Amino acid sequence: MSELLIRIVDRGGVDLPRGYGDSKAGDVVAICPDGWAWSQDELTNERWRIVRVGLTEVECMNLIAVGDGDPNTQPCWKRKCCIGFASLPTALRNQLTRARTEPIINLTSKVAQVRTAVILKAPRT
Amino acid sequence: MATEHKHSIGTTGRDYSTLQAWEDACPANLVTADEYYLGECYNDSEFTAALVISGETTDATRYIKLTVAAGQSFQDHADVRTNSLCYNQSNGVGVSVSVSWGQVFLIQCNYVKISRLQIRNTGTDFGKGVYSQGTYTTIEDCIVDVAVAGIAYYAVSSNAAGTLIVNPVIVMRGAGNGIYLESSTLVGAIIIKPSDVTPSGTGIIQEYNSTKILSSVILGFTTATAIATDNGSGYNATDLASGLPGSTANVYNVTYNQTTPFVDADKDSFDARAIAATALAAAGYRDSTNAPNDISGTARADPPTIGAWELAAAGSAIKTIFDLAKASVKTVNDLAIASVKSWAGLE
Repeated sequence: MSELLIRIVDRGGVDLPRGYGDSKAGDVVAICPDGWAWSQDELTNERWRIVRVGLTEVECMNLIAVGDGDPNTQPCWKRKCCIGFASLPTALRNQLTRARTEPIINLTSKVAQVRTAVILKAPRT
Repeated sequence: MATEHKHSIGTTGRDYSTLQAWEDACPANLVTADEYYLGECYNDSEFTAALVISGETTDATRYIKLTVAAGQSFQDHADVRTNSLCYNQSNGVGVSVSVSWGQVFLIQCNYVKISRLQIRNTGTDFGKGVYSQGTYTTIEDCIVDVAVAGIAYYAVSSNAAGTLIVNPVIVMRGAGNGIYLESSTLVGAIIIKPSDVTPSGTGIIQEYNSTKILSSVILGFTTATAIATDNGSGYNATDLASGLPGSTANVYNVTYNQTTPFVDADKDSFDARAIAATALAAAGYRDSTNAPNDISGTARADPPTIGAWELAAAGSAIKTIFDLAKASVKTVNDLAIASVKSWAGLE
C-alpha cells in the first residue's frame, strides 16, 4: 500500500527544448508509505491530491521515474508516466479534480481503475 | 531586492515532508515573482527519494537554494571535528537513494545552490549522486557517496557553464569516474576511490570550455584528470605520478593507503579527515572568496591543507599577535573561536 501525491494542474513553467520539462497535471510528485505524516500544506494544497492506492512497488517506481531520453539532445518529461485523468471513470475523475474536501482520498477499492489510467507519456516534441 | 520564500522540509511538522513536494511547490517563475526559493532540511529522518529540479525560471538573485537548517547538518554536529568524515545520517541531514540509471539530485534549471548535505546513491548501474545541466549551479560543503559498480560513470556531473563546487567529499565506491565538469571552478575537493577498491576510472573529466581546479586531491583512480582546457589550476594532489592540470605547486605520488593521508580510506570504515604530516598539509591554495572555511566550518589556514578538510584548527596558524586578524579573531575573548585557549596556545 502506498500514498501518492499527485499534481492536478500544470505548474506553467518552462519545458526546455533540450532537457526535462515542468510538472504537469497527472504527474506523481511523491510516493510515501501508508500512514505517512504529510504536512499541512501537502494535505490542503489545491494543486495537489493525495490518494491511497495499492499499487505495486514497480508501478510506484515507474510513476516517479524521470522521462526517457537523452536530456543533452532531446526534450524529456519530468515524469515518465502520469495518471491520465481522462482515462478515469467520470465519478473517479471528478473525485480527484473537484475542490479538495478530504486530505487523503482512499482509492484502495479502485486500484484497477487507477492502474488502467497510468499512462506512459508519448515522447515530448 | 528579491524576497525570501523559505520552507522547512522534514517529517516532523515541517512545511513539506519530501524534497520533491518542496520543489513542486516552487513558483514556476521566480523572476516575475521576484523571489528566491529556499528549502531548509531537518534531520527528522533520512530522505529516501530522489529530487528533480526543473521547469523554474531563475536568475542570479532569484534562485533556488536547498540547504540544511541550522543545527541539522553534519557540519553543525558538536563533534564535527572528531566524527568520521563520511556519509552518516546520524550526524546530520542525509539523502540516501538507490537509483540505477539515474541520480539522487537532477538539476535542470539555472542558478540552483545546494549546500551542507550528505548525498548517497547505493544504486549500482549508471547511478550518480548529483547531475546538473543548469548553468551556475553551486554545490558547497557536501558529501557525495556513490556505489556505481561495473559501469564507468560519475559521482557528480555538471555539463553547464558557471558551476562552482566547494569543499566536496566525493566518494566513488565502484568502477566509475569521480566528477565531470564543464566551465567550472572546483575548490578544496576530495575525490576518492576507497583504498580497498581496485583503482579504475578518472578522477576529473572536462571536455568542453575550461575548468579551474584548486587545492583538490584525487586518490585511487588510474587517471587523475582528463582536462581539455585548463583555466589556472594548481595546488592539487594525487597518488599518481602525473595527470594534474596546471603547473603550479601540484603534488604527485602522494602516499595513499588505508591510513594515509586520511584517517581511514577503506570503504567500510571510511573517514576522509586529513592526518598530520602528509604531503597534503599546508600545500594548498587559500581561496578566501569561495572557500574561507573547510567542510567542517573551520577557518582555512594559509596555506591550507589540500582537500575538503583543514588539518589544523585556525589557531595553529597563529604565530604572532599580528596573525590574529587572519583567523578573524578581533579580541582576546574571541580566541576560543580559533581553538586557542591560552597565550601559550599561540605558539
